[in-house]
Amino acid sequence: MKVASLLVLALWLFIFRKQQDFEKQRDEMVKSQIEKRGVKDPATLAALRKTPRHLFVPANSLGDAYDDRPLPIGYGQTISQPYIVAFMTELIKPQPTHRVLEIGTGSGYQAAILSGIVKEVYTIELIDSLASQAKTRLDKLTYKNVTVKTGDGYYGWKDKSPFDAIVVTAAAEHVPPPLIEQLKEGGRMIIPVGSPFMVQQLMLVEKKDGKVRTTSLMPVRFVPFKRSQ
Amino acid sequence: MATALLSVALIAYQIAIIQLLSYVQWHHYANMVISIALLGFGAAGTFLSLFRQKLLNYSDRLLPLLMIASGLLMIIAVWISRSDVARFDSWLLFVDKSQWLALFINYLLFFIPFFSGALALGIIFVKHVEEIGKFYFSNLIGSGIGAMLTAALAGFFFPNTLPVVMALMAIAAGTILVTQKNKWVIICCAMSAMALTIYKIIRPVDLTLSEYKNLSRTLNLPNARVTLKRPGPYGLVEVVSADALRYAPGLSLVFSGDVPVEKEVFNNGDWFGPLVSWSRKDSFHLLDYTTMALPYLVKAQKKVLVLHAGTGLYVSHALSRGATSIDAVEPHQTVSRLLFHELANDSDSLYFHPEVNVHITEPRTFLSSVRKKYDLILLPVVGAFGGGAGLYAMREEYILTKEAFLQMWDLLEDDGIISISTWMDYPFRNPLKVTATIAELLETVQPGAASAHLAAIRSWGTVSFLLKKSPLSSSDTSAIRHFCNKVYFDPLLLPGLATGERTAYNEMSDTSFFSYVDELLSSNRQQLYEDYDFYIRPATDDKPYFSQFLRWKSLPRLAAIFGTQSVPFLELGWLIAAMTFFQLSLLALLLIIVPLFKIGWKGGYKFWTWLYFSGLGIGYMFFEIVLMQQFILFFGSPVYAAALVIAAMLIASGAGSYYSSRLQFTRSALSRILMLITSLLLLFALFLSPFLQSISGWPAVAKLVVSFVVITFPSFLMGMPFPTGLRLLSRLEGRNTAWAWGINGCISVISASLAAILAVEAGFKVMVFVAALAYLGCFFSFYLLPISKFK
Repeated sequence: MKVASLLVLALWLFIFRKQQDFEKQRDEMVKSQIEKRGVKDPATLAALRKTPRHLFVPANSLGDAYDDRPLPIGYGQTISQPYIVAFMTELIKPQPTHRVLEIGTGSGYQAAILSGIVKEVYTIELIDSLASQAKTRLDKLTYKNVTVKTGDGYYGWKDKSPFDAIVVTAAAEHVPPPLIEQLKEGGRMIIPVGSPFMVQQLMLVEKKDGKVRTTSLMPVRFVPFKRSQ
Repeated sequence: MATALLSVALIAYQIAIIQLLSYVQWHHYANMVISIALLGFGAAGTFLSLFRQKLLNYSDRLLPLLMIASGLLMIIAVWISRSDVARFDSWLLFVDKSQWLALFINYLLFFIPFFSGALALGIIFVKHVEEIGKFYFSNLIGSGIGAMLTAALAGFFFPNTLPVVMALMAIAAGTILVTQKNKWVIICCAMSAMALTIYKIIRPVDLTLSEYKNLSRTLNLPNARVTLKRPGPYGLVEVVSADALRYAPGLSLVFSGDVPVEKEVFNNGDWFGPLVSWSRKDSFHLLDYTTMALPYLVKAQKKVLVLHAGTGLYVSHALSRGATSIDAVEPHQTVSRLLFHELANDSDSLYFHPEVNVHITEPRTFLSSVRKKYDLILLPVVGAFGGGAGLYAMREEYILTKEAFLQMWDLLEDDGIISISTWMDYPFRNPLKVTATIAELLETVQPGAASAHLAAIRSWGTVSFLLKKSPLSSSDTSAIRHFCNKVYFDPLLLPGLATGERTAYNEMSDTSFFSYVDELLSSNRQQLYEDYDFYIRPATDDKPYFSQFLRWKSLPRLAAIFGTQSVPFLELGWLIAAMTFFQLSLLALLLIIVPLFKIGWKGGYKFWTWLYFSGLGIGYMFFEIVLMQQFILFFGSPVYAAALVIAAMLIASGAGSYYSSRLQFTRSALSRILMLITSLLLLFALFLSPFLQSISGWPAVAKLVVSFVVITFPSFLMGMPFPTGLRLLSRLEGRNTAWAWGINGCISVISASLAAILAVEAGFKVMVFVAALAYLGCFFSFYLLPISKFK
């Protein structure tokens, strides 16, 4: 009995220690990769500190979970670089009253971040296996305001529209017209442009006064790409 | 016969493996793996130097075994490389360290069959050095036939069976050498190898692609399936249908209709084009809502030339805009033919419209032969969505050179238009290089009036340029402005443009793009070329590498901005080429030095041996690569041009080698040959390119005859110095012949890799000069030897 208790205690200590390690890494990630690059929104930073990214990456990438880079999650998809997730979240100016649509659930990490800030998150994933994995993960981690469905993100989620913001994590070479339609007047949509492993440029789409305007944003905001002399 | 058959197998296997690896991965990784594997030739030379006597003593038994082993190992290498143990993903190489181990296993797997085959060749050469001319002749003839054979068979076999079929030749070569003494051993080995070959043809290895290739990602879509597969010399063509496949490049955000689902075509797993269904009944074309509509805003375009027509998207757009004559030029023969047959229904019989004429050839070859004037010449869209990864940095793109634009300009009607579109990227590269090319063209054809002939519009993702032969009228500019307002695009270049107009709908947080564009169109262009972190000078026919942007001096700065892990994905192709060269150089150095521990560092004419056989390796490979590049433009087909050049060169060199055994063995006779080669190469450096251009419009048969003469004459001469040198060395220091053969093998492989880099950096002309210098070095090297040795 004594031995068993000691073993349980040792196991608990080991898990607690690991947990602390991850928390430390998460704090470090926010400090060195996110804040340092100019993301200031307190709600976004708090969500990043709280969300256990290591539970959203495959087991073989656990050691790299808090690295400044995207990681493969299978099916040729990736979990985005933490900075990109933070930057995209900040750009849509999320509010506690917002209803947000995400296209491309992937691992569910972006939805989890949004979940801590906004009222409702609706997320669509085209690949069935990824969608069910993300759903199980989000349920297990008790993200109650996130709804996951498998489907073609091209059509958006008409029943739940209009949305205050739309986050497209899986970029395509055109913006699906139904998404523009389902964006609220004054709403913001953010789309990464380019392949996930390359330097990603983000595009912000804003619907204002019945018109749609875009802004192409630099991948790293405070270091503009300029000629060398 | 056995030498020739083995040589067929070795070169054919090499080309087949490049095809296989290009399919499952990307072509630059295929080149890297195969370059390292080809060092098997150098390693065989090293091994032969170290164990010369033993190998020669047992040569009768060893030769057939080595040949059969080579064939067997060719199959095993393909088999294991596709298993879980050795499968690697080049896309993860800079992200996941474990991929390096898998890459190393791949190197080793493909190295061993080449080593085994090359060792057999080496033993033959060293053993029969006095008859080297004849054996080297068989070797070169076999290699030449192998190159042609693979090009011919690529259309019949899938990438996973072609290497296995080629392995049969090596097994057959070994079987020929069967003698009474070794009869049963050889027969047993050969039978087992044959059985394995047949088994791997019936049950070929797995062809699973990298999950990061376009095709893999597409096949992850719900209900995605490959509806058609067709092997061909340009790669494996696959057609995919899926519920969520749509294509509308940079579509306007005002478009509220439905983007239709369509099938898409892939070549070697890379996206090639959509199969757009468009019929005359349709009221609009999707491209009307993209920047690609620009040329049709200015005037009705009746006679249209579409270069690199692909799957016909831009052809259908031209038809929808009322074109009455469309010349669609596409070099990919498999796809073009499919559009006439199996894919005719999927493309609404696009190529059966009476207005459409399809030309299956390279666009530059077409431009040189056509005698017609056009209202509109459309170029393919440059770059990729979100910017490319530099995968095509080493690919010749003759259609995007300054000379190509000049040719197009001359083919325009008086108010004709050239239009080119590009994806926006970041850091800015493609749109800037297009601007630079256009600026230099206009400076030549319309000095001082460039701005009156140029318009460009920008959406959130694409930029389209328009060059009009006559100045743009006010109605032209107002039509463009009206269109931009209607679909939320912004004018980028337009006569009388106000600054604010450029970002009315699509802002950019890095606005330096606009100042770069303006600077490129001003007289300060040269300064920007010098200062910019990427190479944005226009491509030329001498350096036709439009997609090569990397400047080495900028690497540290780019790494600081984008992070060291992102930088490789900016300019991957070029970095891989450099990595290949670096690895090859280190390994080759090792292979050249190791035998010196056995044969000694001093004496034995080692410096001469190194100088002479290195020089021959550099000179031959550089010249071969330049010829291949030049004839791609001349013949209009990269695959067949390469096959023709390799085959003609090797066969002519084989004949030269055979003839060399009759040569007088005097210094003056040998020097004369080297001097003749040097002089010929200098002439080629100066006149080959303009000569080929001047006759590029000739009929195909005449071109073929001229090419044959141009390639074979120098190649015949270039086949002589190697066997003669080896014979000479056997008299000077017989035990060094294997080392010399190894040096030549190593340096040839390094040269092929270096040539690819030098072509991009310095251009073809410089490469021929270097080849000439290499032969000149060989010429002078004879003066290091005592004259008495020549008699």
